Amino acid sequence: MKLDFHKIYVKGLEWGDKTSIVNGVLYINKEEATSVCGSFDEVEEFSLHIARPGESVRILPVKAAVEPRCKLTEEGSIFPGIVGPMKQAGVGATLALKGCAVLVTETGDIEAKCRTGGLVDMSGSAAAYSPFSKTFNVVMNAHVKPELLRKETLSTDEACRIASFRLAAYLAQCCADVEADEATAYELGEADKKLPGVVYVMQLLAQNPEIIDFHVYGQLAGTTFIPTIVHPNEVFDGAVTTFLGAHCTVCSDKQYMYEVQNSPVIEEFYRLHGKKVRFLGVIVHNEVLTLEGKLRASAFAAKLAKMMGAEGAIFVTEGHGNPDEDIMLNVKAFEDEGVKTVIISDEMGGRDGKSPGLADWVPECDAMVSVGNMHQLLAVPKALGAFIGNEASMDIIRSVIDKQPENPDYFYTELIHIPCACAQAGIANLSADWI
Amino acid sequence: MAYRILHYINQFFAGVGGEDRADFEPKVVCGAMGPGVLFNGLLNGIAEISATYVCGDNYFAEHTDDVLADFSKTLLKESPDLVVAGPSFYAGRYGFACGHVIKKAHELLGIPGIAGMNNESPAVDMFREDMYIIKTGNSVRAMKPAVEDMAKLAEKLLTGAELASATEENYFHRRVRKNFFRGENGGKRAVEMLLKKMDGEPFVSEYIQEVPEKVPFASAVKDLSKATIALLNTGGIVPAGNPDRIESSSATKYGAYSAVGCQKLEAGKFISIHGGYDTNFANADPNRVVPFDIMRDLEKEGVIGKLHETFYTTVGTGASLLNGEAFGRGIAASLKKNGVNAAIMVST
Repeated sequence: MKLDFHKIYVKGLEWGDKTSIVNGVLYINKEEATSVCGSFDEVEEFSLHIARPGESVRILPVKAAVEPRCKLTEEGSIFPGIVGPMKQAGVGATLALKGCAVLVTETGDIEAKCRTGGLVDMSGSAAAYSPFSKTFNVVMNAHVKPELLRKETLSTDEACRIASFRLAAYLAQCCADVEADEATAYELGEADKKLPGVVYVMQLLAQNPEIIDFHVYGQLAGTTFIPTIVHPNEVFDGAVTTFLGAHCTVCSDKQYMYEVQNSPVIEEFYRLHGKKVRFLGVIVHNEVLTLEGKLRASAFAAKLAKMMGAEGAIFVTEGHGNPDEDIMLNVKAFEDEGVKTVIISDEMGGRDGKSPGLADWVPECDAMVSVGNMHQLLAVPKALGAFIGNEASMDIIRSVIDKQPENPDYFYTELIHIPCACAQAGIANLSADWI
Repeated sequence: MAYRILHYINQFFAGVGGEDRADFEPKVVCGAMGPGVLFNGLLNGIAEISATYVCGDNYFAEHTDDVLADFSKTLLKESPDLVVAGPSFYAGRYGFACGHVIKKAHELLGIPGIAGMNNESPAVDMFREDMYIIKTGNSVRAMKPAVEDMAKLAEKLLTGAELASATEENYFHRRVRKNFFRGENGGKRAVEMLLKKMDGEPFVSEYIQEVPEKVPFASAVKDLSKATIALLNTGGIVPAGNPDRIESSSATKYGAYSAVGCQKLEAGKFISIHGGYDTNFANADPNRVVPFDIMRDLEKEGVIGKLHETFYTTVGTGASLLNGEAFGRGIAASLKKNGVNAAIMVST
């Protein structure tokens, strides 16, 4: 399976007559881009906004982040089953707009039904922590209907989810005829059998059939899903998608789609394929809520790794608490099969950093990369120049914290509320260490 | 004006004598002496040792309280900005004395302290959470690097400079985690770690946790019909308005809520503030998380003796383990005081 992966680096973002890239500046025809999002009974309208790095702009609640990607060939499919046709993804050619993201937020949820999402500040103290403070963002603001949310939130989430992938695909598609800055061919060619085989294991939340957890080829892959194998090229094309649903999780529980698309472990395994490792593929593992389900998923994942001939595995995860059991069951199951493991996880160290980081631990777990203590407090400005989203969401990240910083213009929030601050797929540099 | 440092050393490093003089009584000397002279020279004029407190190791061990009372007087008189003790290397009694005086200085004046010990010193485990203990070699031959590290740390503490991790500053970590930005992203670091692990090369895990203790099951309630049962939940059911302002995620507190005389929890009067599930259903009927209604039925039927009319609430999602343990102990003590025999924990 071969994928030609083209990149255009976005260095500016403006409204324009025609959606396209000129000299690195992405121009967007606002009207056309808005209509691409589609119309849904659950959403009054979508309004689009631009947020650039360094601007005095706050976006909250950020419910999704997607890097714009499209196919450049008939062959293959982007976000298959959501935007692209239902056929093999990860083949042909793909274009990605680097340094750019579609962010999803909402306005109108007056009763706080749907406000789960993170804080993205384009400047100020919080900007150092989120990758989306450094990207040129096309913000899709969904004007939701509170009377519908009173009954259920799932269909509103679904509307936002589908619209966000449409917009991401559209933005890239409009740049398809622009010469790429860079192109790389991704193919897992024959490699020296003496090199150790490695797999990337994506543990994703699968809490409830009523909740959007994650999708594989457009199918909700929740509690009934059995761990499976995907090719890393399929991940590049969005065959596995995530979305931060309404009451699904707090923002740091989820891997934003952007993180899934830009997994540094996949990048590294590809870079070292045939040189230091044989990259065998990606195992998608669902973190279900029942003990029986956890045992089943972990037995399956370990078996798949063994059948693939893995000697090493890296686990990334979502969530805290019960998903820590999935990590530990997997580590134990893989190590028992002779597969060496490294986990990437954040820590729930408490605001004082004194609490154990994970809900459980096994002696077999001896290699962890820490992506930070997500309970650590961060002082952020009470307001920036502009606000996109739902200001009522500030309550969720602010009002519950009794302690206040010395500077009266700031308030404390926890890193848990900043998207990808403690990035569980490892795209950020933050890490906890002993002091 | 330079910052003032009070230095604690034992009889040996003060040049009084060895084991034969270990009963040497406390004495305050003006300025630096012994290792303090080397230390002073490394402080770049930012700080200086204003006084040295000398005490024999045996004398300290046998008169700990008296020496600490006397040391307190010196602290008040000298009003130092920092206390430095040792380095004591692997020495047992000397190490304890160093730990005790630094702890006392922190309690009395709120100032930090720096010790220097070898990892085999038993005082490390006893005092590491209360102070900075620089890692040293195991004998006086390692004096120079030990004092260099201590001086470097002293300068940072006194000037309020940001400290790097315990590993980089070379002290025994205080069992606290703090965030730093590392040079490479987490994914790259993970791959590098895996390559080393597969090759059998040494690697350093960025975190290792103790395997948690298993909590044994409590014994069964002998006679339910005589038992008082309480309801607990991690589902965030609180009176409307959330009077205790319990957090929707990573909770730092729990609440105890009375529903005296209620046959069930009325929708609207009780709500869920949980940030990790769709609360529509819990708000429509809070009894689905705190089953007051069912328990009342069981009470009437005589299946249980009595329902405890106060229920206990926190939010489970994202909570730290230490907070959870503290909530558990607090709730258990309260239940015991109120004569509750058993409790049902509803987790969400």
